[in-house]
This record gives sequence, structure tokens and C-alpha cells, in this order.
Amino acid sequence: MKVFVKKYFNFLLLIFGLVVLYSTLFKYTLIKQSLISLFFTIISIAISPHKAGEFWNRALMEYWVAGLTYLFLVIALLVIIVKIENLKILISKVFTQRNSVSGFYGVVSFVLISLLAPVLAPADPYAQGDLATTRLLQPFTQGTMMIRIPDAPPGLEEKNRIEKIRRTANNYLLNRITRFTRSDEYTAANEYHTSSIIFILGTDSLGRDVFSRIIYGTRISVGIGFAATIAAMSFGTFIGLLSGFFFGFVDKILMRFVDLFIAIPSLFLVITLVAFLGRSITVLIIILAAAGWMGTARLVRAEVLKLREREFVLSAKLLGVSWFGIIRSHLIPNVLPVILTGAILQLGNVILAEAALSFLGLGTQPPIPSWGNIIGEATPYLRIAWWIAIFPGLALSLFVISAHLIVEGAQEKIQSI
Amino acid sequence: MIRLILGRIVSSIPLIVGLVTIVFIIVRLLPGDPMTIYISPAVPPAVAEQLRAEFGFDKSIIHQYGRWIWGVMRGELGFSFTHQRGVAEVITSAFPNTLILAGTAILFQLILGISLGLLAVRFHKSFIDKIVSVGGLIIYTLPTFWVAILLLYVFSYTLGIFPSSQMHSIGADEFGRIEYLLDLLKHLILPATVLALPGAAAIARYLRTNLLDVLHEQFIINARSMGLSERKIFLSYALSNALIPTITITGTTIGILLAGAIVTETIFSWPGMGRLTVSAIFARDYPLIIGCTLVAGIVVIIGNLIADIMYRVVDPRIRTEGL
Repeated sequence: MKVFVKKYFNFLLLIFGLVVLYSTLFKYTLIKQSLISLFFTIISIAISPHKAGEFWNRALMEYWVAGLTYLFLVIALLVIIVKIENLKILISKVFTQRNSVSGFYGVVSFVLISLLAPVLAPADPYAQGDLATTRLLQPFTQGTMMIRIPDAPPGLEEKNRIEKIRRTANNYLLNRITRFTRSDEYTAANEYHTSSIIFILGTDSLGRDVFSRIIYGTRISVGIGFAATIAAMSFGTFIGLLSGFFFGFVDKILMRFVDLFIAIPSLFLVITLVAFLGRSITVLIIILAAAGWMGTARLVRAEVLKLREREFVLSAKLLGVSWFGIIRSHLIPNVLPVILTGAILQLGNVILAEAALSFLGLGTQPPIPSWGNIIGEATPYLRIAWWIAIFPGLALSLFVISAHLIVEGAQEKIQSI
Repeated sequence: MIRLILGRIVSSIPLIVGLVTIVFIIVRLLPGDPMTIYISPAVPPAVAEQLRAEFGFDKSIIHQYGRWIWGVMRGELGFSFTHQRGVAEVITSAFPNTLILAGTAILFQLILGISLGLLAVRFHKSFIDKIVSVGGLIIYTLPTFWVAILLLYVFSYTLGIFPSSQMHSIGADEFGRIEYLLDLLKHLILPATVLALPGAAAIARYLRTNLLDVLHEQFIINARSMGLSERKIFLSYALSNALIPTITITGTTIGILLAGAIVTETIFSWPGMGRLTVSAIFARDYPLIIGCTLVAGIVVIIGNLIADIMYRVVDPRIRTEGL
């Protein structure tokens, strides 16, 4: 077992190292500007907190997150290399099953990809360009990427230095224009910095880089997945605890309610709700959560029913501990492993559901990339450009398989306790 | 036995009532009342009021609820303005197509799942066994629509073996009976396989683990010591025990498949319930959406009912426990 963990651990180290190496080599300016932007925004806010709203910009968030994650990765790498033995022990304690370990690393990689999206993606996911030469290119075609950074906003001269640096960095991050082309005439006609790019997974019908879109799509898909799962789990746990703890009338009503929701086929429920409530990402998260809390509720209820007859709960009751106290300190910690296992399974299912919805055109709306809607947009072109539809599906499958692997291992462990 | 079945049927009635209520609530989540969609703003307010009164929207909400339940019970689901026909009529014309697809998928699922499961047990711990257990997990988790696209690309676009969409070829009405059926079968194979794969993977995996468990039970050893033939032991002792989960899985998929495989039907342009729902949503044909959801829900409830009854019929241990 230990050998196995070690093997996989080195594998993870390798991935971490490659990510850091890649981003340092190819995305150095972006990382630098992101970190400068973050640092000087914090300083600006610290100097004049009353103007915090002015410095805050939602569009910059992704770059800050990416910069921070990059820093974290570098530090983590250093720490791992120094204290490799400790971490290995920690991981081998948490994930004793070999399937769980690989599943866990899979999910972690996807989370990392979604955090580091701006750093990892070779280009802007929305960037287009010379359609005549860059439409529906095959994987591994070489092209030219042209970047233009517009002049810094006027009026910088009279501002102070901190403000100047911050604005220059923000300007680089937000106003950068990227275009693709493969013809020299097009490059000559525009004043851009040119660099070579390889479209690793080809381009789509609008001449956008599929690889970049999949990387950015990871963030949307995984993000929606996590949000909806957390919401569904919280609600399900709440209902399950109520139902199991206040056995009797409350339980009967709540369980009928659960039965009812299970009876409606979940994709139908989701689609009907989407039809009536609209198609924004927030609505999507709420709807996906509404369609997925029932399993947890049942699971938690069953666990609580088992636990409430156990000696430690009975004695707590005898000691006069309030019901809230019992739920908090006896029931929740004991139910947690079951909830977590359910949550990971749910995560896979929610991401699948989101992908199916977006595929049908009822989920995330274009041009925002998510795995499902990249595939959906690609189906009309399937006959001539298979790569657009196949690769996002591969990412989706890998994620769901990772989630299932974790659950398989965890279930074996829970059963053996 | 009859009492048991009747009991299950009675206990699913509240579910259907609840479903109808939920759909009513969802409709009411819309701002205004359902008539707002139909009445153009150019219509004078007095006429609009009259129309509302005609359809009962001026009455109290309880009155409207009663009216809604009464309408559903008589099969009056409203009028679909994209099809220019009654919703019930549109649904009854799409439902048989879904039935054909779902039936074939279930058949495929059983054949594929059981034969793979048996193969894995026959060659236990061999290469085939590994493929079934690992490949089963992978296939079970793959997104349906992606598998559909993959199969479509390989078998329809690249190899050109199967047609890519619709139920019949153009001009199929003039075919002879056998040709017509063959044509239908050709169109059926891809979508039915896509639908059958996850279920087949689940069945194969369950069958494999269950058979392996059962083969080590005391009663098998007992039967062997009594000199029964291996064939008889396997078929009537081990297999009949191990097949129970297969029936449960099939039961749960009946409902889901009958409700209309939304994604698969859309990809293969299969004119069934799933595609009807999606097209209704894009056309904002609200009465049709409501009708489809209602029918899908009821079908799933009935599917679960069938699964439950079958489960109890097959497994005597549960039957004796009563309701």
C-alpha cells in the first residue's frame, strides 16, 4: 500500500512541477501582472479603505485567484520537497484505498485546473480572429497568436506611483486583445505583438482555441458542480437530521415529500424548472440542488435512526443535553463520512446533469464555455470536426470517473468499520 | 399476492396527486396567470377579462386547483399552440415511439448485461473478467450524450453502417412490411445501444459480484455434495439467486426510459417524449411542457411500481415480510 501511495505521490509531484514549469515559462508576464495587480489593490485598499469599492473589480478576480494558486503551488512544491515524508503519511491515512488515491488526485487536478485557468490556458477562451484561416483547424495545427495591449488609460501622470502600477497591471489583464490567424497578410495589416501558438486540440467553428475553452469550461462546470452539491448536501442533511431525530409525524411528512421528489425524473424536473425560471447560472445551481438533495436526506435519516438508539446518544439525552447539542456533537460527526461519500458521488452526478443541460442549450449559455455547451455547439460540425465534441467529453468523463473511484474506495472503507 | 399488488398501487396514488400539485405550483410561479401568454396586449381589457372568466382564472386559487385536478383526471391538458392540437393528442402520438425505443433498450440491456456478467464469472480472474469489472465502471460513468456522439461519429459518419437520425428512412411508407421493420431496426440500434449501455454495465457488475458470492454459499456446497449436476446447480440454484438485482436495476430503468430519454432522443432526432419536451421548451409551449412533465412523472411512478412488485414476486424473502 505504501509503495502505491509513494508511486502516485511522485506522479502528483511531477504534475505540480510541470504545471509550475509550464506557467513560469510561457505565462510569466500574466502571472507577474496578476500578482502586481493583487498586491497593489490590497495596498490601495489598505491606504484608503473608504474607496475600496473603486479598486474592487470582479473581472480581475480570476487573475488574482490564479496568481495566488500559482504562488501556493510553488510554496507547496518547496514544502513537499523539504518534508516529503510527513505529507505522504497524511495522505496514506486519509486515502487507504488505491482507487481512492487515483480518484482523489483526479479531482484535485481538475480543481487546480479550474483555479489556474488563466495561467494554464494558452489563449483567451473568447479570442477569435481571422476566420478564413482559423476556423475548424485540426488538432496540433500551428497558428499565430496576436496580442495587443491598448495604451494605458489617460491621466496617469498626475496620479501617485502605486496607482500608476496598479492601473498598468489591470490594463494589461483586462484590456488585452487576442487574435488568431494563419495568414501573413492578416498579421501585417494589424499592429499586434505576434507569437506562435499550437492549437493542441484544434479550433471550433468560430475559430476559438478548443483547449483554452475546455480549461475555462472546467471552471464553469466544476464550479457549478461544487456550488450545487454543497447546497443540495446542506439541505438534504438538514431534512435528514430533522426527519431522523424527530421520528414520527414530522418524519412521515418529510419522507413522503422526499418520495415525491424522487418520483419525478430528475432531468425532467430540472428541465421544466429551467423552462419556467430562466437560464442564468445562479438559477441553474439552485435547480440542480433542488433536484439532488433527496438521496442525502434518506441516507442521513437512516444513519440518524441507527445512531439515536446508541448508548452515547441515550446517555447524552439522560444527562439533559439539548437536542441541538446532541445533533451538533453526536449526530453530525458520526454522519459526516456518509455525507461526504454521498457528496462526491453527487458532485459527479451534478456535473453530468449540468453538462447534459448545457448540451441541450438549457444550461450555461454561450459564449461562456462549459464542457456541456462546448459539446452542444460542436454537434452540428461533428461530421467534419470531431475533435471539438470529443475532448470536452473526455474531460467530463475523467472527472466523473475520478469521483466514482473515490466513492468506491470510501464505501469499502466505511463498510469495513 | 393480489392484496400486496393492490396495496402498492393504492400507496402510489398520493404520489401522483402530489406530482400534479407540484406541477400546478410550478405553473403558478410564473408572473401573472397562464392566460397572459395567450392574450395579446392589443386585446381590449374587457375582452381579456371575459376570456379569463371563461377559463376560470378569476376564481379563487382553490377553485382553480380543483379545476386543474379535474382537467388532469379527464385527460384535458390544454392546447399546444406549436402543434395546433390538444396536448393529450400530441403526447399520445409521441408516446409509442418512446415505447419502442425503451423496449428495445431494455432488451439490449438485459442481453448484454447478463451475457457479460456470465462471461466474467465463467472466466473469473482472467482478462475478460477484468475488462468487465473495470470497463463496466467506466461505461457506467460515461456521459450518455458523449457516448451517443462517439457512436454517431464512428458508426454513422465514418463507417456509414447506421443512419444518424429519425425513425424511418425517407419514403419508408412505401416499403413492404419486412423492409419497413428492418429499416426501423436499423434506425433503432444506435439510440437503443446508447440507452442500454449504462444499465448493461450495472447489470454485468452486479451479476458478477452476486454470482461469485452465491457460488460460495452453503447451499451450493450442499447441492454439490448431494450429487446434483454442475449445470443444474448453476442454473437453478446460483443464477436464480444472483439475478434478483438484475430485475431491480431493470425495474428502475423502465421508468426512466419510458419517461423519454431526453438527451438521446434529441441527438438521434427520435420523435418521442424526450424530444417533444425539449422542443416544447424551446418554443415556450407551456401547456405542452406541463403535459410532458406530468406524463413523465406518472410513467416513472408506474415504472417504480412495476419494479417494486416484480422485486417482491421474485424474492420470497421480501414477500413474506408483507407490506
